[in-house]
Amino acid sequence: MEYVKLVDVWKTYRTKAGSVTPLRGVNFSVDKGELVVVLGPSGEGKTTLLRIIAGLLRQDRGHVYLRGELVDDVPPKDRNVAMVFQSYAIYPFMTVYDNIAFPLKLQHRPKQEIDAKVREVAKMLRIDDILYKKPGQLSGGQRQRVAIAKALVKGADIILMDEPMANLDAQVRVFAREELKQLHRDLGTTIIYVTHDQVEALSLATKLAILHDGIIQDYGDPVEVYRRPRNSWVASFTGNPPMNLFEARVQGGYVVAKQGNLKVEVPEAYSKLVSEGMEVVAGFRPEDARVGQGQLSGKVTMVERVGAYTVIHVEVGGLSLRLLYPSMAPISRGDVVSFEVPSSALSLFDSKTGLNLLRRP
Amino acid sequence: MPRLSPKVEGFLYFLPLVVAVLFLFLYPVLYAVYISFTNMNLLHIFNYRLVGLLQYELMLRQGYLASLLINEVAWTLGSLIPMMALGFALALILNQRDLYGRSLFYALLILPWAFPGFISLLVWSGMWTDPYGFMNRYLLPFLHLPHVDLVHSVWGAWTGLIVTNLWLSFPYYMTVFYSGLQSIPSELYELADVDGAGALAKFARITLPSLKKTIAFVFITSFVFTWNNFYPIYVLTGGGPGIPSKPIASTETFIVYAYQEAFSYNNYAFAAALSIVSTAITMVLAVIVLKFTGILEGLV
Amino acid sequence: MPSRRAKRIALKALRLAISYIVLIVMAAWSVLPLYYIIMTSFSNVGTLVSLTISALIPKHITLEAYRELLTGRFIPTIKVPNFPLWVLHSIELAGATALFSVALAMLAGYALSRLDMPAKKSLATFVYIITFLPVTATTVPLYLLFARFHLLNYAGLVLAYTPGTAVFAAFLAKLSIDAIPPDYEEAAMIDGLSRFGAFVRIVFRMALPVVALTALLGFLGAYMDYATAYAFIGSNSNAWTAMLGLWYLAGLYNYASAPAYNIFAAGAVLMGIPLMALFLVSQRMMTRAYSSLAGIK
Repeated sequence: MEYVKLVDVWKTYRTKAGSVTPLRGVNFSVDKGELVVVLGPSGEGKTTLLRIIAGLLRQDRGHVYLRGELVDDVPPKDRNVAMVFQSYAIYPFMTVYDNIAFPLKLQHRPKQEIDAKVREVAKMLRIDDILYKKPGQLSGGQRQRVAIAKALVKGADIILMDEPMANLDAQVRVFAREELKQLHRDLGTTIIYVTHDQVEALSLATKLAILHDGIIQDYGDPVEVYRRPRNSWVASFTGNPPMNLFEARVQGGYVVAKQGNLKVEVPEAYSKLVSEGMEVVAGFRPEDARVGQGQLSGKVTMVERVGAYTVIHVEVGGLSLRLLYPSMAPISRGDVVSFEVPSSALSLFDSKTGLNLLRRP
Repeated sequence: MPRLSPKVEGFLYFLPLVVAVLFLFLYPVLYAVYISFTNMNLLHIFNYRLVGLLQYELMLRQGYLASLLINEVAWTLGSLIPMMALGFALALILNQRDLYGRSLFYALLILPWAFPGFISLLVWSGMWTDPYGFMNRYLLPFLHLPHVDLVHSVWGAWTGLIVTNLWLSFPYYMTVFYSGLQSIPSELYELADVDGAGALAKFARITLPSLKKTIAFVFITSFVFTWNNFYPIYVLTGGGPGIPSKPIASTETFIVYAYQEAFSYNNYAFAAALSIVSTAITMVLAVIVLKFTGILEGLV
Repeated sequence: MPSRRAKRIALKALRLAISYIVLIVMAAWSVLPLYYIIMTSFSNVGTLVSLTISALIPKHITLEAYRELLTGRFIPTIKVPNFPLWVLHSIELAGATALFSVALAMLAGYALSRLDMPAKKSLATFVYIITFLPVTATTVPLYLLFARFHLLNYAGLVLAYTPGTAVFAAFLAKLSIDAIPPDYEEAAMIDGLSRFGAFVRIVFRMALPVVALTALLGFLGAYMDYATAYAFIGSNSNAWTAMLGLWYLAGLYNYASAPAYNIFAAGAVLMGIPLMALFLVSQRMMTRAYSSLAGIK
């Protein structure tokens, strides 16, 4: 069932510099129980989107539906959603206990019920030992769990999360992510999670949405979005290092790069979608190329040792590509490497619109 | 309750203040303008009628406007110059690095300003009484100074006012100038020492220029404040000893005279006219202050 | 060379000597009236005539004046001890002013900070300029207006006192609220509060310093006023405030019927010292508010 649905949502801001329109006709729906991650570059409307769903902002055009009902005119307190802010927004003048209990107190629930619920949630998030501390005395990770506890205690079945891991240390983040995934599995709540961190997005999401240029560029299973991006922008945005994209022409069953000596067989999936002489934008991910073997060769112009792997920038007759190289193997500038690109790794995009020729629905 | 657009919501929150200001500042002034064109006083408290510019003519013809203006300038400048000079001098003295007991002196010197002015004035009023008050009975004779009679002598009234106002306000200027002096980086002076500058040169070349802005700001804001300062004159001399149609003969200023005309003599229309003139002058001064200090920029 | 060094030392000694002399004289002059009135309040001086120099040297300390101040019925028509009644009135008036000032200032400050208002800048400028008139300048017009509306009473006084403080405090409130991240209110609105509820329960709490300062300024402004109070309710001694009472006790209202001078002194001390303390506190709070806000800007 479409639990959260946005139809043609627009939002414009007037700033001192002029007006900005981060959302231009967003269409988006989330099924019950999904953990949907909205991924996109910073400052491009992800938080705006979340705020509109929560009711903190009003959209200029379009409609928002929660649980099948139109909620455009419903204030945040009546939408029965919970939200975790990037800054956690835990009231500094209340103890952890009071912070978590606050939403329930506002609903005038009986004291025992409040107490039971608070302790239940605190136990779930392993913060039952700090219930009487003040936020100023907590670590970042603890504060984040308090924020999540506040969101859970309401019992709302839609939780909105605005980059809740952004302020955590890298190692803490990994644990927090796993905990969140486990929590989602246990509780089955619908979560809409916003971030600009790809790794987070890919590891958490049951469904992935990419927001850019005011619209949802791609939406679906994370692996699908990764392997078969809907357009060339998504292709270049996802993946680290990003996909190699180049202009090419279809010639004699091959995709031939316009610049440089790069020639790959037309992939099976695309064979019926291309015609001879057609101009395309082609792409493959660095990790899909096999280095050390194959017909193609190029000269190494840069070596980036990241630790777990090495990225080499290779020049193939005027075309610059990024490839992955086994971690500690010796390689340096000026070396010549051979590599091959399996045709199954290739994606083809329309040269004018950027849309993937496979055009996933 | 229907969702309010943020614009309407914002306006509603701001509304009480706007209403309060309109009702309590603007409206009264407009009403006073209206009354100033009538002849409302003790005889015509309910059956007043419009008389046009009569009150204003009175003000002009009988010399009130001119002498009140002269009084105001005398009062304002006569107060400000001693206050600022004394405050500045004390600030300089306190600023000396090798001074002992600075905190003690500062605490004592700030008392006149910290103690409620109205009450201080009541006390001073008793002290200036001639011949039994403390000043005329003990202190002035002790210092071989002539008597100061606030009630009967023009010279006495002005002296008493200026001296008392000096007592009330010098700590403020002392404080402002002191913090101004403190904020001058000592490196400037050290550099001057290396260059061989004497004390006078350092004062003229470093101290004064650094404080120029502060001095100007303080002068302008204090000017407006002193111009409209009601209590000292009202409590000490009641505007006396003479009548305000002659300059300096009385110590009346617009604000005191208007108050008395309204509440002691029930000449409401005349008082209203005086208030309007005074308000107009104050607004002009206020605009000058605003323009000069550019306060508004940082606030909205 | 010894003579030059001697000259420098002599100059320094002279400078310091002059400094100390000036400071001591000024300090003495500053303290004089306060010492004078405190000593008088502990004496049994009945009138100014009998206030001799010997009264100022603490030989007999007596609390008689204070007792009379607190129990006296100087105006026979008032059935209860006069002065405490007048003080009570002042407290009521000042308290109400404090409350209203806080409400107006916080609402306006919140609007200026958070909410999108039409013509925000011009309205704010307008309001700011209008209140450049000191309260005493608008007393006469205000009186005339309030006379028509039957507001020549405490309610009218509170109305008269409030805007002056409120406008100044509104801008302070705006700056203070600017510094509070809007996340807290948004979280509160999701938790179940309306925007107004979030404003009252969360923003107030987090802007407590400004709230306290506004309340204090409103309280002091109202308490220490004489001019407007006299204009509005001066004719009704039953309704007098502490300042009106002091005016009476000082003999300025009606010299002939004024009570003993030491009683006035006691009143001056009893009112003056706490008010002075509160005033100094408010100054401290203001410098703290300005410096914390300057730090952010």
